Amino acid sequence: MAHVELNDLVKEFDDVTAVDGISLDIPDESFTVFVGPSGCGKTTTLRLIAGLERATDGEISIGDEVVNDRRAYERDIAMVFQNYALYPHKTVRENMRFGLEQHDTPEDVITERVTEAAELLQIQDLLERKPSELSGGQQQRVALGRAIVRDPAVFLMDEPLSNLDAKLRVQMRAELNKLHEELSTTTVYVTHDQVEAMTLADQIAVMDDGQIQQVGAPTHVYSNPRNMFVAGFLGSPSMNFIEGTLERDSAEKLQLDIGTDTHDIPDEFADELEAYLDDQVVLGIRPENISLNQDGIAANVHPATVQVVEPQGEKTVLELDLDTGQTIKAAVDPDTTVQMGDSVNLRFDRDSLQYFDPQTGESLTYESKSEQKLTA
Amino acid sequence: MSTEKQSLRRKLDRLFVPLTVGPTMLWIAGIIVYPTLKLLWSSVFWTNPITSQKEFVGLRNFKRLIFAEGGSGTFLGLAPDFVSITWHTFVYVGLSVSISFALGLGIALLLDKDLKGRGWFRTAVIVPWILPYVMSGLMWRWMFNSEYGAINGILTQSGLLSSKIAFFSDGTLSMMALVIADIWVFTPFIIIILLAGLQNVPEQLYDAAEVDGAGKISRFVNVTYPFLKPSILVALTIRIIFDIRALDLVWVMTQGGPGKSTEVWASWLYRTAQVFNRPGEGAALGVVLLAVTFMIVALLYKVFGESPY
Repeated sequence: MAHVELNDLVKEFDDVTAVDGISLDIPDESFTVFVGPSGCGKTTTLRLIAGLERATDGEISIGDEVVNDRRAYERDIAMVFQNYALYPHKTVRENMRFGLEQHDTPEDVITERVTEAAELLQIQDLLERKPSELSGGQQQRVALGRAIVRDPAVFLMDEPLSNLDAKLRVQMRAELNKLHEELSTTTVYVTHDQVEAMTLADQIAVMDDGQIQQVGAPTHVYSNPRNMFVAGFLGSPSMNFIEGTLERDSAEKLQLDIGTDTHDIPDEFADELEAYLDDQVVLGIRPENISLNQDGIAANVHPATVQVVEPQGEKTVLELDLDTGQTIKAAVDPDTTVQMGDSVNLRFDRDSLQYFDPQTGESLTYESKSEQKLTA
Repeated sequence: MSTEKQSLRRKLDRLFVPLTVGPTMLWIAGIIVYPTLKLLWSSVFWTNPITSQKEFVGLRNFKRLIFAEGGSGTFLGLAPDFVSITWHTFVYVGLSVSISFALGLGIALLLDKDLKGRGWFRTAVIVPWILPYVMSGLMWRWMFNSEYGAINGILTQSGLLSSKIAFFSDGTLSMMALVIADIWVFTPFIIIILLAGLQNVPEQLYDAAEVDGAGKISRFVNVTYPFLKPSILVALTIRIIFDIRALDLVWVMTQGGPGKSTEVWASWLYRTAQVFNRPGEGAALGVVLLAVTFMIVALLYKVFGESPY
């Protein structure tokens, strides 16, 4: 077991900077997930930790040792690849043994570890088969098995579930969770799938453009995004952004005029937003925090027209045109009776709103929300 | 649909397979089956060179070529020509194939790396192979020429040799010249085929092997080689078949000489059938050549025929 530390890590490929000064502490026994869109540098970061790429600048430590100049196999890591990367001409047993054989591990240790890992992953019956005779899920287990037998300090996983069908992915996700519970090995996991990231991680690092945009516990990052990228990337359907002008009402309270109606700014955010008076502010609201106003309340209500109704089972997603012309999405109760073309009034859940600077995209309420959380 | 139309459609359906596959089958029969049968047929006849009359002689042509008359005092009772020419063929094919394979593999592995000027070099290496073999033969005959050849020139002018060597007056040196020319002509072919094979190796397997701690040799044996096997099979099969029946280079450079010191199966066959006008014996040689080639190809399939998956 070991913690991993990245310090100002940079990786450049010719003219492209794939990883742009990343610093991150990955605690011992944690399950850290790098998540971000394709090309954000998450896989390159993982390959840098693995030693499959050399860092242009910065430092990588595993345990307490800087490993920049060590080859992959000297870093005490094991990796699970996106396409499993099983040796196709070797049997499952030979695949699992291979890494240990390269390290001159005694035969009895190899046999013991392979047997143990096979039992843990329930692949005892597949040991004499070749990868081509296995299903995707079974191949994935073997790839995990190959990593487990090495008993490494750190597991590195590069989108290991992305080649599986939806059902199997959910099942394997649960198994990975269980496996981590059992082995407690520090795990660094890369995925573009935010659901995978949210469900697996103790610590989530959202990446974009070669930089870490935000690090934290999944629920914290989800409910308190540092900027519009993080806010928009996590959550499906993604967060709605509505631009408005910050003004004072007759009672001198701050309110945001988003065209359809004004929106009262909660008092706890008044200090941060004060500076934006008479200026543009972006309001961020998640679809699940929008409800249809059926109580006849008059204030802070936003009229809209239903454009699309998408029943998704546990919720119904509505695509709505606000009277200002902007399209937003709302996730409402599946029993809703609204239909395409209906005029509705929307209410935004005040406690779940985010405010962003339209120029920088930074959250204006991140600091105070984080503090609130700490005090709570 | 009327009954007439239905029966017409059924007729057309029945004709579909013979109509589509038929031409190909005829073509294969014309270029493979007929010549092979004709070869087998010719090998059991003796043709009178004056009257062109054919006489059935059974296996006499084979016996005359393979076994010594009287059958005593020679190796296993085999004809001395058969033994020496088979040995020349073995040396010629064995040396050129093994050396050009080793060279080709080395160059292909180099070209597979991300080196500067790789694209240019990849194109350049093909040149020897796209030249007509006869032209390559003429070029190398000139290179090894005892008077004005470039090789003698380089060796004497650099002081490595005091006097020029008459390469084509010595059996061993002639064979060496042939082997060198053959390697020059065919190595590019090996490079192209093996390079194509190397591109098939999934990059992630090298990463996995690196993480597993496999060294360079272990990586080659455990990752590269299994994926290269199908390409090695193609390269060696075609290469050996080409060399066993190679006439162009040998005929242009040495004509099997001096004496019979560089006579190989292909030139022997040509000489017997065309120069000495003994088509029956030539055909018999062809049958033996065919059988030997089949055996070698079968052996190659046994060794390299396994798919990596």
